[in-house]
Amino acid sequence: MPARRDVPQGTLDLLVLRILASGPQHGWGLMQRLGRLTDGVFQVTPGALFPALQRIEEYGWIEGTWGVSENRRKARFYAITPEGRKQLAAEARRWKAITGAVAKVLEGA
Amino acid sequence: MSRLWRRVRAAVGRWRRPIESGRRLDAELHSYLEHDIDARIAAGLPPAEARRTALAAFGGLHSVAEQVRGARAGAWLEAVAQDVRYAWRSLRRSPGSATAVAGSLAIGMAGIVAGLALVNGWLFRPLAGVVEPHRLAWVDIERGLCGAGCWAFLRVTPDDHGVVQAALADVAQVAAASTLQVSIGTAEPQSVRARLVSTNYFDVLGTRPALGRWFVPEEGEASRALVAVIAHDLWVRDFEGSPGAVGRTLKVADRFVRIVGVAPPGFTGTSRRAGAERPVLWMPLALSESLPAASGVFFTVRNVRLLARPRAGVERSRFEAAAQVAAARIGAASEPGESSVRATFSDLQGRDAALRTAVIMAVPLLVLAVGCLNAANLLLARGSERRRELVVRLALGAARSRIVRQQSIEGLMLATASVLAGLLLAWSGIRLAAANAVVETTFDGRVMLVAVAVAYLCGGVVGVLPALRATAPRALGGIGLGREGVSGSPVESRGRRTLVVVQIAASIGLLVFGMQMLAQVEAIGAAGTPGRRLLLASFDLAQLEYEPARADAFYEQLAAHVSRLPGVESVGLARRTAVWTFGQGVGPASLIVRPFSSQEGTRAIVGGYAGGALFDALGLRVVEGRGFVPADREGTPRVAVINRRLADMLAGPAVGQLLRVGSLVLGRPDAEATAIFERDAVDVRVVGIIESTHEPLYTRDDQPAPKVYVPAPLGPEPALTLYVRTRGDAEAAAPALRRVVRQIDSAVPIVELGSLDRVNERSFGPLPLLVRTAALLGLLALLLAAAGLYALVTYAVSMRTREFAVRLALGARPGRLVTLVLRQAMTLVAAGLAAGGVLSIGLTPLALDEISDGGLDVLALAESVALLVLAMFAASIHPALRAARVDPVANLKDA
Repeated sequence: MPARRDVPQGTLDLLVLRILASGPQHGWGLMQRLGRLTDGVFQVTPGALFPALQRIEEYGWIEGTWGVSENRRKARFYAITPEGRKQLAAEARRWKAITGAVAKVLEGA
Repeated sequence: MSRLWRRVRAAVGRWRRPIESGRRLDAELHSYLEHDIDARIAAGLPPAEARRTALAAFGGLHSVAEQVRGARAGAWLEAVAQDVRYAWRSLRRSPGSATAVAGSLAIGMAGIVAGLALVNGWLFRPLAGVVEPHRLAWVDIERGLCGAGCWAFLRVTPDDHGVVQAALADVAQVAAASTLQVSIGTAEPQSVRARLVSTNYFDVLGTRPALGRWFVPEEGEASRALVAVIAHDLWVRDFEGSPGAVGRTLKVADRFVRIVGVAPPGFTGTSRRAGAERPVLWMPLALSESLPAASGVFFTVRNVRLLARPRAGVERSRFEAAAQVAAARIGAASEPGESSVRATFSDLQGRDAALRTAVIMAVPLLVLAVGCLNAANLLLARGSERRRELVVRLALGAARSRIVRQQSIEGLMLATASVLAGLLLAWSGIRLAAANAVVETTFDGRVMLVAVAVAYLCGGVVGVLPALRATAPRALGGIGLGREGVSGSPVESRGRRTLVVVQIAASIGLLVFGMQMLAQVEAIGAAGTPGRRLLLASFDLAQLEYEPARADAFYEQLAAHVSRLPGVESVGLARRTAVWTFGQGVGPASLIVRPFSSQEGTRAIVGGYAGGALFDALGLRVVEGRGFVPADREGTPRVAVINRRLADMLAGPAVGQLLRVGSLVLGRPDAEATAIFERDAVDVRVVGIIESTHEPLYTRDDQPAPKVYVPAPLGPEPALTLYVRTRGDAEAAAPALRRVVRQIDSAVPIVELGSLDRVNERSFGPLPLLVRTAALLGLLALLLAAAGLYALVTYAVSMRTREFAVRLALGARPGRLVTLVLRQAMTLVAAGLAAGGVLSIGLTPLALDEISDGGLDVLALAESVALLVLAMFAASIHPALRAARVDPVANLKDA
């Protein structure tokens, strides 16, 4: 199992948007998906996740509504908004450009 | 843009429903936790273990909630709001000290606001209707009198105006203006301030009329000069603001003049004076040639001053050079011997305004400094009482910056309270003084802005410093020790002692300065009737063209009627400047006196006709010989009463000496005046000597002026002043006197009516008001300093309770403890006195030099010091006595 790391600066928003793009999730569910999708590489704590959700919701990229989870518990579900999708697309492009450039440099060196 | 908008909306929503938003966050975090616990139980952990590990993984509900709040829009604002609530609670816990701090600042603020309002109104108030006032300059013509460095104002005549105007034609427009007091025949006869001006006066100022027109050049000729422009106020009050006022005639003195225009609202020409001193009538300067012969006092065309507006693009140096050429021309044309004549310049928007501002503001600034020091001192004391609380909070992880911010917010809240209280105080003070004001105080946005800025600066600084000090790492060592350990480090009490010493030094400085100035101003009327109990009512019947017999009858009747009014003690008659000259010099009311006993020759001495019970009304005792008796009043004067000062100047015993006295003739060549004196003078024998009156701000040598009085007029006396001594407040008798005048002759206006104090105030300008305010502020500063010392000594005693208990237990007498505490307090007082005393004794004469030649008043100095020592003693005696009452048993039990 690879060593666990903190999420790189600024990428948490992108990851959250990407996960929500495939369907609404509540906080705990998001955390599980995040862990699964990155094979447990990124360690996200509630202290990082919830402020990020707060911020992204204020930006209008996601929207939270109260609902009932699969455990039949009350939970706040977040869904991506059309504006959030646009943001996700833009961020993904930017991310690919950066990683592509970095990869090129690393290979060429 | 929309992202920002959403964040603002979210923040506002949370502000509106703070509790709901808090609950929602809590519910969400709990929901996460429950899901995690469920998952851990499903993975096989026992419920208790699942809960424990989930909580540990979560990282603390409160801390996460705090992080979420921190991420929110407007989180910073929310924190500040929290701090404000915190500060409010902590202020409410100790309302006494909060009030004392805010009060200290408020007193300082009030001084600043009042000072600024005065400066603003006196020096910087925009002159209504005047275009580009900063480009206007007064041109004064001076004459060299006695070699280098000795110059006097030259009387400028309307002809000189012509010379200067011609010489400066290329470089500037030059107007001329002079002031006079004149009766006008409106529905109610009134005496008003008027200006005689050159016909181009309004053009030079750049003013447009509200109605009608200004003067035309032809009206600069005497024959066509019977025209007037009236002030907007006068137009509204006496002409009901009717457009028909233009073209109507107005009786001015004994002439009828035609109103040709109405000045725009608020127009006062170049005057910033308030009330009765504000001009309301403008007439051509040429009118002075045809006005009735000056009756000596009010109706004189004096001090024609020249006002120039350099043309656009003309350099100042070129303008000044041209003016010097004009001055030289005037010098060449005047009598031989007046060799050197020069022009001097002063800007209308005074170049010295900044200096005057500094002088006026020095006192309020000092008081503010004392107030701030006091507030800082009190806050430091609070800081040490709260150190334990701060230490605990720091230990629990509160950021130092957060604590300092909370303390600063407390300071700012106190500053807000003090601004409000200070503005209220200043505003009511100004309202109170406005009735008497000679200059207008302007209470506008600029004043408020500066005041608010100063208050918050002060409040912020005095709030932050104690907080920095209280949370300094060095201060934190003592937690857990006894009371002594937590508070009162030597460094801090040294700081507070220094504050108190500085406070005492500043307040003794203020007190000495205020008392010295007060001694100078109050010396007027120091001998005799107090200024508030002497009513002066002036008349000028020459302007009404009354025959001498009719004038005499009027004054006789008036004196008789007024002396019967309730509350009136005695009534005298003399010219307006025959007792106090109010800065007008010996000209308007003087006799030429030639003593027979000396070789000195003639000289002009203030005095003249003294009718009724003048000396009695003035409260001047006859110190030798006798006063006037009814028999003296018959026919030409044969006797005279002089004052002590003149008696001292005469050789040999004064009573019984013969003097030759005659009227002072103004405006004639010396030879002619001498001839008139030789022809008309009478010989009088000195029968009595009265006390001298002081007029220290006007006399050049700090000596009372010599005075000479005769029992009957030497010639017609159409312009006299009634001197009325009242039992109570003189101003209260004014309405009754007004009624008496109306009864006797309803056509006679009262030129001036007011107590001696008020007349003085008018002639001194705002100086007496300033001086009294300075003295009052000095007293306030003293009170503040005493409060500061009281707080310090009380605190020191409470810190040393255990020490005193030990001393008492070991057999010290309580009296010794009192002396111990008092001695330490008085050491501070002595240090403050030494620092402040040296400074004020050094500086006060410099300030006094600006206004008079009087030296340091030793009595006033001694009084100030005694007052300070007494106040400081009173402030420290109570805590000192407490030291002696310490109960050793109670205080040593828990040691």
